This record gives sequence, structure tokens and C-alpha cells, in this order.
Amino acid sequence: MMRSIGFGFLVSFAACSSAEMQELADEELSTVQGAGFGFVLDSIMLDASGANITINDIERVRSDGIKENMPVKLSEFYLSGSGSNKGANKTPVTLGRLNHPFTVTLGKGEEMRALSDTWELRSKVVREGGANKTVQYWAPSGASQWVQTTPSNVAVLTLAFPERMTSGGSSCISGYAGAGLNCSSDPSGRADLGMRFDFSVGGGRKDILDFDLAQLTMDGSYLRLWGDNSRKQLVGEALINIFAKNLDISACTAPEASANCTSAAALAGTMYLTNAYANISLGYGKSQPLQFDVNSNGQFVLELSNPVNTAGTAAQRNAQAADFYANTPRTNLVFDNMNIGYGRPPANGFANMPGAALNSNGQAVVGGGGMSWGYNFGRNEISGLSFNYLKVTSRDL
Amino acid sequence: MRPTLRFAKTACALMCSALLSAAAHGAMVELADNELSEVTGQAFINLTTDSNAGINYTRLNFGMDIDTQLNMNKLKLGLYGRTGEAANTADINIDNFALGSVNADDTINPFRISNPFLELAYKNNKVVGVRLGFGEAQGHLSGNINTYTGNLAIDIFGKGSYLGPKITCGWDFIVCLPAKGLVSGVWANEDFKAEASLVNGSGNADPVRGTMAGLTNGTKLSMPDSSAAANFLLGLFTSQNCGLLGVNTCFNLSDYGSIPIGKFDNQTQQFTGTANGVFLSMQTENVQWRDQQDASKFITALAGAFMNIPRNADGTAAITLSFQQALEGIARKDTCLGSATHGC
Repeated sequence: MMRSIGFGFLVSFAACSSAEMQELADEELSTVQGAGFGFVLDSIMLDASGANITINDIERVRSDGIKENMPVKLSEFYLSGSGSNKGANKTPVTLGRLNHPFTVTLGKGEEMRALSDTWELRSKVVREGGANKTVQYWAPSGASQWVQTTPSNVAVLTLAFPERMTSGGSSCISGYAGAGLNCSSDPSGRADLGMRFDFSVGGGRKDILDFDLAQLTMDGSYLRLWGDNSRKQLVGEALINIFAKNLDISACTAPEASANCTSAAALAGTMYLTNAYANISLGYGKSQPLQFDVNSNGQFVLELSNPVNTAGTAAQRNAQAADFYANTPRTNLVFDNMNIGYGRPPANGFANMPGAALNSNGQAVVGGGGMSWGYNFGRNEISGLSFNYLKVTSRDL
Repeated sequence: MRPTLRFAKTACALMCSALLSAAAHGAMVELADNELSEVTGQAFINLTTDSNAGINYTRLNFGMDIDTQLNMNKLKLGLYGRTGEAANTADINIDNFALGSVNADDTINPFRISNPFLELAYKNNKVVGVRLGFGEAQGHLSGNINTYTGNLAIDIFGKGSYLGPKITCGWDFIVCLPAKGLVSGVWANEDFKAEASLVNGSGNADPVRGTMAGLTNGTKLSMPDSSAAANFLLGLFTSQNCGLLGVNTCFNLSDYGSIPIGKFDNQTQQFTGTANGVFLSMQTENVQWRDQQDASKFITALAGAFMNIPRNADGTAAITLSFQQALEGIARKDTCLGSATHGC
């Protein structure tokens, strides 16, 4: 009875308090500018090393075809100040600064800016099919620019990490200029982050993946969301920047009953990434917003549509393509060095790093840096990736 | 509308909606945790295991269909010193890499991928390899291929009428001239075939940081639809040192602007099937990965970064070229919107 009265009161209260509220049209909402707040995570430290989280309902398929649940255990989760030695010596860290905080804002699309590499249209002569011809291509100029990536006249909800700067910033990876020198987080604001996954793969075996990131910062990352009138759905764009001095991934197997891999397997099976960074760009809001949907079968659909209106004239299409290629942030994934086993690279690198000494034939000499087992894959790079079209649809296995 | 009337209308609407929602929700009851746990949802990820010759494998399978058209400025994997290889070269190095193509009106021909998976190989309980595989792949792969490590299976087809005039005879004219006559004359309308792969400038197999594709030493031309006698005669001539009857049989990979991945009909310029064994892997030692199209077989991936574009299960190559394309290279497909064509 009391619950009914309370419910009725709440309805009446809601009716009264809603009486003078009217929804804002999109164009009215888009005039709102600067609403939002910033925050700094002051002296934060997370230690969940004693906690066990089990993820269920991912299936493993036995050799006889029978599907069964595969428990995935998450443990050794921590967030600490840098220098923690893979979480062994955790200390508090302050993420963000008062003049460069994390922000949650509602602003005009025309006021949004993103830092993007500058690309320019060039020409070259190529020989194809037995004949020479002049062709055009886009290439990075080596400079970067602040550009508007969101459409005008929309209200954009933004969750942003501390920004990258035009001048006066710090190197995004200490001692390595390749990832940029424009991060607002100073070296004391870098975090160590780690977590371990145990996969019960069956047959009395478990696979262990143990991640440890050192000196992590994510400056310049953002997620922007807005309503798209023509598509009648929520759309967005995202840039996820990950800069880490070191990323170690220990991948090994152990009997199900054992707590850990043998130390020899854990060390020899560790993938060491040095000076690793990723800029993952999804969507260019002006002409190619990120669309995420669920279809009638319950499957997710992720789509980046063609940024050019193919119904337009050639001149219009060229202009739309030029705007896209000149301004859209690209995706990069760079590991300045990657090795499995061997341990961390020595200060001057392994003997077979790209700049290693050559023999009398001008060929590099392979060596293990004095380590007994492992392989050095050197530098690995995927850079300047953009999608003219992408559609990912999930389906049942 | 006067404010009082607007308030009355709003209050009425709220009351009505509250009553309606109460009625509509009357039959709903919450699920207990154990009931909720019976809801399996859409399972697009699962895990399988495998083992062979002392190696345990764990494969994460993704139920996904991916249609894409993408461009990449640089794809460079495994830039490190490697014995016997030139300095500052990488296992795989492709500039202006692209998947899929763009038509003149800026519509897209996507590259299609189904059933991708991520697999780890463990030996002595430590990881020795990781591969990204594609259950099915179909579309054009474009790029300036600087170096390539792995398998690159190519079938070269063509009419005798095209190949014959290319034959030039030297000191071997006693056998060469009759052969030229046969290829240009009696066999002018016959289809010739040769299997090509990664080679060096001497015609030897070169699967590590290769810069050329062509006929390995000892490879013979064949006529699939012709008699055994004709094939016997043809079998007398083999490719040696990148030459067969005076015809160059080794080609720079950089001359191939775009290569079709999947069964491709050169006549109609349409894809007729998918390639089923394409993968990209990195391993610390030579690792045998199970063949995706014949589970009784394994494909040996060499240490380092490795790309596998293999022969299909029926023996046809993932890449099919005409003699003209092989000899003159393949023009790059347009992979960019707007005025650019060769990188964006």
C-alpha cells in the first residue's frame, strides 16, 4: 500500500515538474556551446590483484564438435604510477592536469577540432602495362593540423582525454620522438597498467596472457556523439591514442591445476614491444560518421559509409574526396621494436636491429644480443590507414 | 496555447502514459539470474584448440562478414637484419597498400573477408607463433610490393598466339625454332599454363624478402586441354635462369599494381570464388600451421613475418594472370575516391 502511494506521488511530482519543460529542437540544441566540465584523476591507484573476475559464456568447441562454456579468469589488474615494475611497486598517479583535464562537454560541431596529419595531393609517373602514365596520389606532408571533423549545426557530446598541444608539449613516449612531442601529460602523469587472463581451453590445459603496459598515456583520445537527422540514428567518431614506452605480453600455457606457467616458459614466451603506439581513428564526422547498429537478427553492424555522394557530379565528388583525404585522421600502429624472448632490448638494441653493423657484403648480421632464445622482429608499422568503406556484420558460429 | 492549458494537457498526457505503461507492463516479470544465464545471445566468438608435432594451437574464431575498401600508406613488418638479406629490408614491405577498388563513378568494389581468426602456437608451453587468418577472402590487393616473404601462388595462362611471337631463339635454335613454329602455328589457339611463385633473379625459389615472382628453374609449360603427346613435347622445354625459349619468366613484384585474391575470370574480369587459405603470421621459428582448406595438411611458415596466398584446394592458384599481365605487369586498380588513383 505504501509503495502504491509513493508511486502515485512520484507520478504527480513528475507531472508537475515536467509541466514547464519543452524539448529543444536539434537546431536549438546546436546553439548550446561550452557546457560541460573537466576533471583530473588526482593520486589514483587501482589494485585489484587480489580479486578474481570470471567471464563466462564464451564457448570452446571440443574436437568432437560439442560446445561448452570456457571460463576466462581476469586477475592481477592494476593501475599505478610509472616505475611499478609490472605492478610490484604500485604508487599513486595523477592523470590529467588542471589546465589539460579530461572533459565531458556539449558543444557545436563547427567548434570541434581534431589533430590530424596533413596529407597533400601529388603526382608521379608510373609504368604500367608496358606504358608510362602520370597518376595522382595522396601522401603525408610530415606536418600536422587542427581541423574540423564534425558536421556544423549539430550538438556534439564529447568525452575527451587530455589534449595534444600545438606547442610546448612533452614527448608522448619518453626518449622517442616518433610518436610525437605534443602530449600535454608530463612524464609524471604516465601510468602503468596490467591485467592477466587465464583461458580454460580444455583438455586439462589453460592459456595465460599477461599484459603489462609501462608509461601509458592516451592524450588526444576522444569519443564524440551526435544525432544524425538524415540517418535518424546516433552516430559518432572516435580517436583512440595509446602511447606506451613498453608493452610486455607473456603468452604461455600451463596445466589447468597449476597457478602459473613455469618461469622459463613465461619469460621465453613474452612478447616485448618497445616504443609502441597506436592512433585508432574511426569515423570522419563531416562525411563518414561511425554508425553502430543492431539488425533484426540481433547481430551488430558497424559501418563507415562512402564519404563521397556518388550521385553528385565529378567536380562535387572530387571536392568531397579531397576534403576527406586532406583532413581525416588516419590510423597508425607502430612497434619501434618487437621481440619474443631475449628479454628487453639492450640500450643499443639487439645485434639484428635495423641499424645494426653490416658485414663486408653489406648484409646485416643476425644475433641474439647474447640471449639464449628468442626472435627479434625489429620494427613493425602500419601507417596512414583510412577506410573508404567498411561494414562489419557479426553472425553466429 | 495558454500556459495553464498547456500544463493541463501535459499533466493529462503524463497520467495517461503512466496508466498505459502500468497496463502494458502488467504481464512482465523479472528474470532470475539463473534464468537470465540461459539466454545465450548471439555467439560470434568461440575458441578451438588443436595440436600437432609437439605444438599446441589455440584459435579464436570470429563470426564476422567484413566488406571493406581501405588504403594504407605503409605496411612494413619485420624490419630487422636477416642473414643473407640486404640491409634495411623488411620481411613484408608494401607501400600504398589497398584492399578493394573504386570505380570511375566513385562507387566501391569491396574486398570481402569472412570468418577471420586469431591463432597462437605454443611449443614447450611458450608462444612461438601468432597468425591472423581469413576463412574466405575475395577482392583486389594493390600496392607497391618492395619485399614479400611467404607463399604467393600464381597461375599464368595464355594463348600460343600471344606467347609464340615472344619466343626468341639463340644457340638452341635447332629445338627452339620448331617449338616457336608449333606455339605460333598449330598451338596458336591452345591455352598454355605455368605455375609461378617467388623467385630470385636466377630463377631459384626465394620465399624470404623476395622481390620477384616467376617460374622456378625446371618449371615446364603445359597445355591443360591438349594431348599427352603435346604436353610431352612441351615438357622438353623448362625454364632456366629466368628464361624459357628466350621468353623472360621472372617478373618484378613491383610491376604488379593489383593482384586478384580469389578465383578470377580474366575474360569477364569478375570474381567467381573466394581464396580460402590466406593468412598473415609471425613466428619465432618455422611453424606448421594447419591448412585451412585441407585439414589433413600443414603449411610451413618460415620464421619472421610471413604472408600466405596459397594454391586453392583444387590446385588453382589464388592469383591468376595472363601471359601479357605477367610479362608487362598489371596496372593498379583505382583505389581512391576523387581524382587520385594510386594511394590516398
